[in-house]
Amino acid sequence: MIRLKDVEKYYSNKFVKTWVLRNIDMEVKEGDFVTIMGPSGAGKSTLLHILGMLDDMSGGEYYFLDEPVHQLNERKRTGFHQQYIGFVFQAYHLIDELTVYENLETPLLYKKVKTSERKSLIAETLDRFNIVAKKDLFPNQLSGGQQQLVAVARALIINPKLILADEPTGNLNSKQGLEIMDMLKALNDEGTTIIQVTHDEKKAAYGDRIIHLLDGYIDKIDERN
Amino acid sequence: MFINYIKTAFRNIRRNRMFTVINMSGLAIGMACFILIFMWVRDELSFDEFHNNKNELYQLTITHPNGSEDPNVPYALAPVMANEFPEIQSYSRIFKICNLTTCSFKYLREDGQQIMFYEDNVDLVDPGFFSMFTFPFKYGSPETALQDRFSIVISEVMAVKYFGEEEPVGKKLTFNNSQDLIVSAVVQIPANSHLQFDFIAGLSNNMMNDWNWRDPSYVLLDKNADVREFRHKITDALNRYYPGQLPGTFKVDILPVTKVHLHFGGMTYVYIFSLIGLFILFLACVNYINLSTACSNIRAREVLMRKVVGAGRKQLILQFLGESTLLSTMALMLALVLVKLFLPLLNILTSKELILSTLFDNIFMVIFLFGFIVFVGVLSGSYPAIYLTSSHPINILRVTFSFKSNRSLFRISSVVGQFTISILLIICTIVVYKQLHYVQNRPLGFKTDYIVNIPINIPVIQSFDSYKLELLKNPNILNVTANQAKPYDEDYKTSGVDWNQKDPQLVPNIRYSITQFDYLETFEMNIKEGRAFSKEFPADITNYVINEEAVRYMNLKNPVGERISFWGREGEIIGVVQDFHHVSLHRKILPHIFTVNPQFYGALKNISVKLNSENIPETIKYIQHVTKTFAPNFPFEYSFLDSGIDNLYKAEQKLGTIFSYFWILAIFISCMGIFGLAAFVTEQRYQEIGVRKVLGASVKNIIYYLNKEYMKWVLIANFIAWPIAWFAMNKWLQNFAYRVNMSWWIFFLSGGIVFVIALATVSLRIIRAATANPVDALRYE
Repeated sequence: MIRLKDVEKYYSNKFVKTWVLRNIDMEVKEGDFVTIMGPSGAGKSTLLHILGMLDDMSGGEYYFLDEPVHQLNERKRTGFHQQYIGFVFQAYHLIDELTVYENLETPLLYKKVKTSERKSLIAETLDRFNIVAKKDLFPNQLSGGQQQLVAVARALIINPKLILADEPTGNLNSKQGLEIMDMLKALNDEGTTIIQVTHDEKKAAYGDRIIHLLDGYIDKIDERN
Repeated sequence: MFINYIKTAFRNIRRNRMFTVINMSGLAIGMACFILIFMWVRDELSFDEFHNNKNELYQLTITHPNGSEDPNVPYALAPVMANEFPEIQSYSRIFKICNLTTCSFKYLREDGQQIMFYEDNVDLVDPGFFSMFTFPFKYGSPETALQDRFSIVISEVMAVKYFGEEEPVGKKLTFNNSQDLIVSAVVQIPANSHLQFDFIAGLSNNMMNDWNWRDPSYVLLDKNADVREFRHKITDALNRYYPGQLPGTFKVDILPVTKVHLHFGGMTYVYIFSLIGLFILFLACVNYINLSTACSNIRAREVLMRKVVGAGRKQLILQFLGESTLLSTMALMLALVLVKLFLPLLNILTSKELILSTLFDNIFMVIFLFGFIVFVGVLSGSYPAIYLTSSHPINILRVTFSFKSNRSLFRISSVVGQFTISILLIICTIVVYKQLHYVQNRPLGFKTDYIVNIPINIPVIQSFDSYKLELLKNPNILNVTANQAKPYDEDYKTSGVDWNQKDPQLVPNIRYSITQFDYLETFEMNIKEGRAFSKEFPADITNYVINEEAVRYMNLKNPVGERISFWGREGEIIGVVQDFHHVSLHRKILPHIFTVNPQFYGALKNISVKLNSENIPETIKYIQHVTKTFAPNFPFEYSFLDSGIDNLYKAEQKLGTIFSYFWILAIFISCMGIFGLAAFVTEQRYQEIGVRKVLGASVKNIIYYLNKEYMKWVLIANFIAWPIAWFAMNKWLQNFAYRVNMSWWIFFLSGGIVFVIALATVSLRIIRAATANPVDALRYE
């Protein structure tokens, strides 16, 4: 599903290049649950952003479903978001001005889903995440765990093939964190591909594979089964 | 999707309530101002557009050898030109009879009551008048209105004044108690007509030999006439036809009737106010764009999120532009409400009757306003729409940090620009006020307090001496005289003065006053040499009093006793009066000559009575009683002269008031802009302020530090504004023959006012940020 070849990322500041990622080669198959680990500044988030097409890479090749992403224009990339990718962030990143219901609705609107279908999808999702009672509240009226729940729900509502999660439990207490992780695991079992970034060994253990980053290089890859 | 955008927009407005209110009201006030000024300007430009013949209708003008353009032409000019030039289809002269004599009208009601008033707006015209000008007739028709020699056309206002509810046509009005006239028609005079009359009657003779020039004449040209060629042909008409020698070349020309209203000076005000209107709109616009752009940083995260969940760039651009256009549309609605509220005030200030709904008659204005809100909307929304959405989503959060340096040049120049305009307007206001104060308090050389003015009539002129004696029996009446003009009124000038050693080439230009005895005493003018007119010297009726300027003008060493002649009547100079301001201080004092010769008493128009300051109402009753016994069939009216003097400076007073409204407005808009920007900058530097406090900065340090920047801009603005203001005001003051000088303190004061206001505005914001707990600031993500 995903293939990276010799991907690199740097910031040029006059004559000095600051390397963030170098020589990244990796492959993710459909249904994988991949964890990216590493100390602060190792390039974890940047790698995730590149995978999610939120950021450009400085060099290398990136194939998503055999499409060369490094050659795609913005419109095509937006198409990929709408079709295949859901994001979950550490800081939830819900739209403050919209209610829970409207936050869930937004990706469907951009995807131009018909009204009736949209309504049933949202109802279904609210039901599934057990947040029907919260649908008319604004994000700042919810606890952190609930917000993250909505964020996950929003990522899932387009039924993505790939979920990218950037420390999804970083701002949550351990109980809430476990709930979110269990949910991701359950999704993975249903066939959704998941790539998560984390610091936490315990959360990392949910994945089938752990990619360790160090100073922009892939340090080692742990396979587990 | 659309609903989603609208919701986001409104919730955003609610969340940033303060910014939105400042921003929108600023734009709304600016637009309202602009619309008001536009309506005024459009009305000024719309004068005389209602005449069907407006494209063929012209006023005759004459350019004097000294270059000044005269709207009045000799009465004989139009008919002799019509004889020579076939292009002239028809002509009409205006003869303002009230300039020569007092006019009164009387209507005898069926119940025996006399309705009578003095009038000063009575015009005599040629028979073609109503076929040239298209005035709407309420009763009667243009064809028959002036057919009869003794018919008179009256305005709607006069119809109500004399006849009330009664049907006016066919009623009899008696002119000056001697001539019966029949009302033949009632016309409505539109407010935007430069010709404003109350009564119109036909000229009784064609004045083919009358080369006096007091009033305008109009011609109607053939539709197919070559106007350029015609203008060329008529240039020398006056010099060719004038009986006798004219001093120099007088150029005859024509002026389209639609241009007449603004041609003689009014255009300047149209320019000034258009400029002010555009200025204020520009200020408001810059503020609005500036502040919306500044605020859009708050939206960065939303942009990121919308991109992450799949928004395309086009959709985001549309969202932001739509949102900002919605806001500017709301501002326009608010502006229209403001216009509605303030239109009555403008109408009072300008004595017009403007109506808001007529604004939309003008298709260009509708297009302009619509285009304007889209323009402002697009411009103010373009930063978030284009800049924020252009980069890779994840960079958006980084973009906000580079915002400051990116836009600061635009921001600085707009702030400096606003300060400059505010300072400019304050300086102008102060100078206008100072000059007004000066002209109103300058010793005029005569006194008008407690002087009552009464229009004169024939019976009173005929027995003036006994009338005067009767009045003086009342101890509260100090002095009585009669005159052709009040000392400050329309001036009468002549070239008919001759004296010894006069340069034969010189065509004199001398003011004259035809008066009764005691004129100089009643107005308390200072006699410098010799004496005033006196009944004790019978020869005084052919003697003269002149002013100091006349002594210099005629180059007389010992003026008293010199012989001069006025309109061919020779006499002796018996006294010299101190120079006085005969007309407004716009103009220089001219040489002046006084005569009490009874041969000219036909020209007398006013009785002036000096009263004691006590028991004024009773004294007036007494005057009324005496006047009524002398002239029972004439109306009695009176006015105090003090109020008349104010009329001299009406234009300047209006200018002063309007300027003061606008500078308050301009400062208000600038302050809102500055306040908004200060609020935004402190918001952006919230974290910095927190860090500084943690490092030990006091509130005072922070206020000083952040204010420093703004004050630098105020200083720069001063240096830009001062020379412009000096230049502009210097130009304006040239209009006055007697003027104040622009002292340096005006400039410093204006700068100071803006400085203090800016300091207060900025400090208010900073103090709020600086006194907050620094930990809150640091927690602020």
